[in-house]
Amino acid sequence: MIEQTIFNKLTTLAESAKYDVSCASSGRDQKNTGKLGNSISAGICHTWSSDGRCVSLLKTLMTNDCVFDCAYCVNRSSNDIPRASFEVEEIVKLTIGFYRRNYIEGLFLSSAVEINPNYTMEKIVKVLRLLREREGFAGYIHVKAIPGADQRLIYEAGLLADRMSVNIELPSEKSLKLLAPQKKPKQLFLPMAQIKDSIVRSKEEKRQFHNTPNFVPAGQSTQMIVGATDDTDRSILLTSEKLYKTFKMRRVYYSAYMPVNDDKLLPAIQTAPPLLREHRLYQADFLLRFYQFEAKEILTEDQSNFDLDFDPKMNWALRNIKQYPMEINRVSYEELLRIPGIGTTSASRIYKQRRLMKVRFEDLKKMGVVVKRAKYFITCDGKFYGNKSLDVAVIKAALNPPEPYTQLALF
Amino acid sequence: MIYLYDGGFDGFLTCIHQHYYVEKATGIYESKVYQPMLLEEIKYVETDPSQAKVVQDAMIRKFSEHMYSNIYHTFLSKEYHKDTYLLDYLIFAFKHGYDTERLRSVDAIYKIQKISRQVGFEKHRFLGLLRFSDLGTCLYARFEPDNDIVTLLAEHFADRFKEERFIIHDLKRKTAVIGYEGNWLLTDFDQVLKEDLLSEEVFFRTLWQEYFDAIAIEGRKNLKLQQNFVPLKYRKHLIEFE
Repeated sequence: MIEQTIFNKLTTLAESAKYDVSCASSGRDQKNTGKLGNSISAGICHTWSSDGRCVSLLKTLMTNDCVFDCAYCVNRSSNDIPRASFEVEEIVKLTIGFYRRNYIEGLFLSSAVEINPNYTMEKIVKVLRLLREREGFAGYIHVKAIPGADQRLIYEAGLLADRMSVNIELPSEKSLKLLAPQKKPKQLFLPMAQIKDSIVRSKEEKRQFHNTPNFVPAGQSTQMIVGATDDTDRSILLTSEKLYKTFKMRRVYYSAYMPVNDDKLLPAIQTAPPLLREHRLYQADFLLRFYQFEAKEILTEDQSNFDLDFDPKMNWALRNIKQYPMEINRVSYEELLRIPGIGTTSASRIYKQRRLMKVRFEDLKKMGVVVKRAKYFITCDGKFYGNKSLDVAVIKAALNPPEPYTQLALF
Repeated sequence: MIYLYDGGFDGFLTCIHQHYYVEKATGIYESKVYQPMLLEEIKYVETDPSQAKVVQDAMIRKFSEHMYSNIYHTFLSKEYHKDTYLLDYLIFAFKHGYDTERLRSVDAIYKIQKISRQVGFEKHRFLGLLRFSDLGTCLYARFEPDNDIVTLLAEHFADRFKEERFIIHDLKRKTAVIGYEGNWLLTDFDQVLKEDLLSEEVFFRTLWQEYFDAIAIEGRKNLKLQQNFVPLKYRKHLIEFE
């Protein structure tokens, strides 16, 4: 009987948690400091569900019984869905049981706001405390900071978790007011700022006192919904950039809006999720984090939404065609990263080799360069291998047909 | 001259020693799998730990840690010519030392970097895809990897499960890593463990299967993408795909 209730709770609460995108178990190299568990900085995926998303953590809610009524959320209080709440011990048992069998890399614990933020956050902290202190669990824990909860509780959670997140969900104050009138932007930014400050302080103190406890060692993340409002890609990307800079976010996740509620403020329930747009946002996000791009370069004021035919980097290159061709054996690492078809790995391979030995055109494939895209933008030892000229229309035609639609499968 | 050896890392290193101090090798193969070719001269090399140590010390002195791990990963690969490729790599590497890593477009180096990456990738995959069952006496996992990676997984799980007893069983090679209180050892292993599952084990398996189905978003269904990540060959031992 008890077992049956766990079954029902788990399916109900996993169902409610699945729209949270993040499941990364990355950002921390940690040997087993307790009795059970460790983590590696690359993170480990344990399986992939039928939508192709990786399953790394046991992603569940403490409860889906919410006092808020946010229009986009499946758990809004006005929805008639089955409600369930886990007992603290039930989550502990599940986490340890799954972890020992290597089903998961750790726990991702989130929650709807039950009764009030403090009540919910207290329950979350209790789970973490039992896992860490009683069970000696040293695996990965990602936990949501519930906006509006007491600073002391958030701090306590941060000492026990590896990663924390607060979801901003919507990129502008206007959209937030429209769809989640009970949430105030200020209230969302407060815990983000607190987490950032505590991380910075813990790192500083660690330099002097080795025993300083870690605070959220794998950093904080957040997520935004794409396609529920009329916000442009540019405003989403600018918001991301701000989040990365202001709060030192490790990751911003994007989630193509899946219509779950019938609401006149939202896209109709049959609307397909904008998966390609989500994919373009992730590509742009990588440009921000690893390719030294700025948001305002990727999308300009005249072009505030992504071109769905070409990826953001190719787009930038075509807009700035005057900067090409670039000589593979001479341009800086930063410039190599601006060449379509060259990524961080291939750029560093080229960079390493060319100081000892020239990189020839035939070598590019071995370096991992996508030659069919790169050849229009480079010279190798002075020779150009693209068509006759650096003409945007010619290149666009040559790259046609654009990447097949299945490409968006990447995420 | 083709050198044949017993399949162990020391045996391979002995061949390298012989190449430098006795007679040049044109190829190295494990004697068990070697397919003789016409007009090839072959010689079986007896493993000599002291000769192996000379080569190993030289490698540690002259190579970066990363190069060393590339060499070892390649050694564990299923590639038939891996030892011959390693010979070519080592000849180059002993001449050029640390620079070797940088010269990816040199054929001998490219091959090793590519193969070792494949092996490393498979290892990483199985860190996640391995499934343990609690048999009451120990945690038991079986798998059939392409490359001989069971020892690469051992360290990770010995640390993770440092208060548990566990067995990771490579069905293909009939070997297993046995872990106990943070230590592990590799052994030949060809037992079929009986599948009388404890009720707790059945409980967690069923829960996991339910969870696995519940976590997928119907509107984003993409089986092809799923298969890119979990190729069919791995699904045999994954309970969520049963």
